[in-house]
Amino acid sequence: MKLKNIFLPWLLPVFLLAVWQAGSATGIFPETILPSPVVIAQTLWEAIAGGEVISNLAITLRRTIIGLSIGVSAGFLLGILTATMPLLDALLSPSIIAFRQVPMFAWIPMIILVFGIEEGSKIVFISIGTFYPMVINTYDGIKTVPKKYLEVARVYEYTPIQTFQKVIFPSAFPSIITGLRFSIGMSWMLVVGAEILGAATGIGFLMAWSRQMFQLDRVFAYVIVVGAIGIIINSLVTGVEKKLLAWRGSGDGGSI
Amino acid sequence: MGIYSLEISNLNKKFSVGGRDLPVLEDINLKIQTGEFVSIVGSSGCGKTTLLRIILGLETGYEGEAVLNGKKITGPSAKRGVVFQEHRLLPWLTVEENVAFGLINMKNRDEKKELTDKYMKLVGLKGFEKVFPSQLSGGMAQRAAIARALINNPEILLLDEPLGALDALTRMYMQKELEHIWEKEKLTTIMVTHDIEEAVYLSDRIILMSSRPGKIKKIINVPLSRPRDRDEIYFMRIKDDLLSEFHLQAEKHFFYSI
Amino acid sequence: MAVVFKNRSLPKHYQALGFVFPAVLLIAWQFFSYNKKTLLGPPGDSILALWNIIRDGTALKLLATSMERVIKGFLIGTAIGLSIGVLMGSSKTGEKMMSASFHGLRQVPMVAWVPLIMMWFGKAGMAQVVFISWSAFYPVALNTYDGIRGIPGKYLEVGRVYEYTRWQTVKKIIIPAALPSIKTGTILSLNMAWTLLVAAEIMTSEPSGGLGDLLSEGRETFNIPMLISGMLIMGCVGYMLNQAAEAVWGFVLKNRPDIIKQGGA
Ligand SMILES: Nc1ncnc2c1ncn2[C@@H]1O[C@H](COP(=O)(O)OP(=O)(O)OP(=O)(O)O)[C@@H](O)[C@H]1O
Ligand SMILES: [Mg+2]
Repeated sequence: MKLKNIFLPWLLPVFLLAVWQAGSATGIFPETILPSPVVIAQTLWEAIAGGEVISNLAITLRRTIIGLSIGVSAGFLLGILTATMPLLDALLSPSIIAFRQVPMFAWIPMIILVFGIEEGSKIVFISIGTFYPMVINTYDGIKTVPKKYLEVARVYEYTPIQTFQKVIFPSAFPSIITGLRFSIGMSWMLVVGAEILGAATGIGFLMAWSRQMFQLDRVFAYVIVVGAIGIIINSLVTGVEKKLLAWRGSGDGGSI
Repeated sequence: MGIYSLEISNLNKKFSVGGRDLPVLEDINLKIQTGEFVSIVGSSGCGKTTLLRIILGLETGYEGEAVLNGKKITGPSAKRGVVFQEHRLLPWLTVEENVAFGLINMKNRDEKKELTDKYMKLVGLKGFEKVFPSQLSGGMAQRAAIARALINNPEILLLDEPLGALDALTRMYMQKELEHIWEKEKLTTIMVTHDIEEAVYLSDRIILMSSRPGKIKKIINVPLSRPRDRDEIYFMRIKDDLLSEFHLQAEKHFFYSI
Repeated sequence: MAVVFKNRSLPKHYQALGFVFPAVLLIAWQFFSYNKKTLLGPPGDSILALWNIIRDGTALKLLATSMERVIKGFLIGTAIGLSIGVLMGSSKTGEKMMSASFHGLRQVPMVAWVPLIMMWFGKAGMAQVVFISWSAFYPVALNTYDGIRGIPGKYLEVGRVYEYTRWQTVKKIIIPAALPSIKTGTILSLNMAWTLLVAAEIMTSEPSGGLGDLLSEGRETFNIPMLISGMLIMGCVGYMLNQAAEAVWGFVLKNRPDIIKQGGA
């Protein structure tokens, strides 16, 4: 039973890899269309050892972090402000919703025209893309603070600031964290996409460049790198989220 | 001032539901003495919670007035302790932090800690300080809510079915505890309950409400000395009287529905 | 500081305030493009460009091509996603076999597949459909799987008491109970499909025949009014797609008020 549990998750990938490798070895899959797993592994190793992956990855991550920080802080602030000030809400929220309808990647050509193909355009793009999940989830979280908890704060004559600190913010916190998680997940996709679409450095650029050179093994190798970073980011975020939201048990103190 | 702690006069409260007015409380007149323990019983939906919310200052927009210790009630005050029908512990705060919720403006940390410990012990939650409400049983959560209501040393204590979630044994134990607390602190207390025996056991007076709209139907004195014995003949008689009131009402309902 | 917990909403007519910000934006735009000749051009240029491509039918032609791709891709992706989701959610062995691969592959950002898919499936047309199927697949599969795993044991027990077969259980209990999640999944999928269609269409080096061309061409020829028209059309169509999906679900679920109330994501 135990053995089966360990064995099963590997069954599918190993089987597919074996078929793939066999197909490549016998020439059923031509090298130019589907390089063999072994070749891809070699290429990946060389790309890492050669340093090009690391240096480009560093550039990509730097863009991600800067763009993400700007987008997330702006989204967080605006989310709080619009959710707590009805006037600002009426002024800005409809515009935020309207702008969001434009698909993210449709912004890229415009951004490249305005900000050029350098760092600036990537960062602006990631900021815009990560802004939305953050602003929307922060806003929703605050707007849906249960009234029953606000009443408890009223009974104890909390000032608005105290109410915000002790009730509104903690209550909205899970939603804010969800927004942050979406933003972080989004940022990785956005940066890779933006780099594929127009960049001279970065992991996405390497992908686009290798494609133009018809080096499929390289494209594959970079997909693996991008996926691996995705997995790392995701598990980090999930781990931190679990820690932060420890109070959310399964039950609710036996209340109905 | 006088000896009355709470005076409610000519109170009428309506809710508007779907554009129509729904009278919930009608012509409520009530005087409660300082240090008195009063229970409210009545069928579900008759407006008990609404009455407590008015005293709390959470409901506005009613006719008549409610005066507490000579001051008209216009909004909530930390000097009114409350245990809500659902416990309303804040799920992101530990039990200890929840109990200390009303002490937010207390600067002295030691004093705050001492008070919190005292009330945690009082409701038998020692050892659960760092636990979150989601990890408590229903009864423990309700006890934490009682501690939170008491910690501010309130002028009046409002309890909305505080022991509803407890098993019969814990319930009896908590009734004793409540009685102790009440006697010690001489707290004016209003408790809503569905448990007739509990009402008789604890109260000086029991207010019977009829429903739709909620009116005070009858006020029953419980002139028994404390601590009370549930098996004593007078205790049983008062309980039976109350039960028959309910029985009668139920019969009438039945009649109408034919 | 206005207080969220006292006065939660303004009177109805305050909603008109929503137009203030766009109006200010338009006026600023007009003002800055009036003074000096900028790339952007006054707002009127963009509106004119939009009107022109609508009038001469270009917009409709591009839209039809894009739409066809989205719908094909969405249907294929949803069908596969639903099957895989049900398989992983309702069979322990299926879950163990697939979930590691599934979650692993999911971490590769969708757009990273574009270069590969384009090499395999040609430059225009097919590649977009494949790509969209692939991106529509995940939200549906994931939400179906989650929805099924979250079904309270008590419902499944009812099926066991009445000795339902596996297929009967899937049909009568698992799918109806997981419908809210499936709804969420398909709506997310459609959003995803539309967003990524744009990516796929502008990532090709040659015109793709879809709406993305407005953007690529606008960028290459520095024709900002064309670019903006493209963005406007995409925004509106995306919004309408979303509304349409909600409406379709509303119709499908008209006998399930419990689900409609919950709403999608
Ligand atoms: N905010 C509100 N808006 C509209 N109607 C309300 C509101 N609050 C309470 N009501 C109505 O007022 C009536 C009395 O409600 P209340 O909660 O006071 O009843 P209750 O006596 O406490 O009942 P229970 O014993 O079930 O707790 C009910 O019919 C309820 O539907
Ligand atoms: Mg009630």
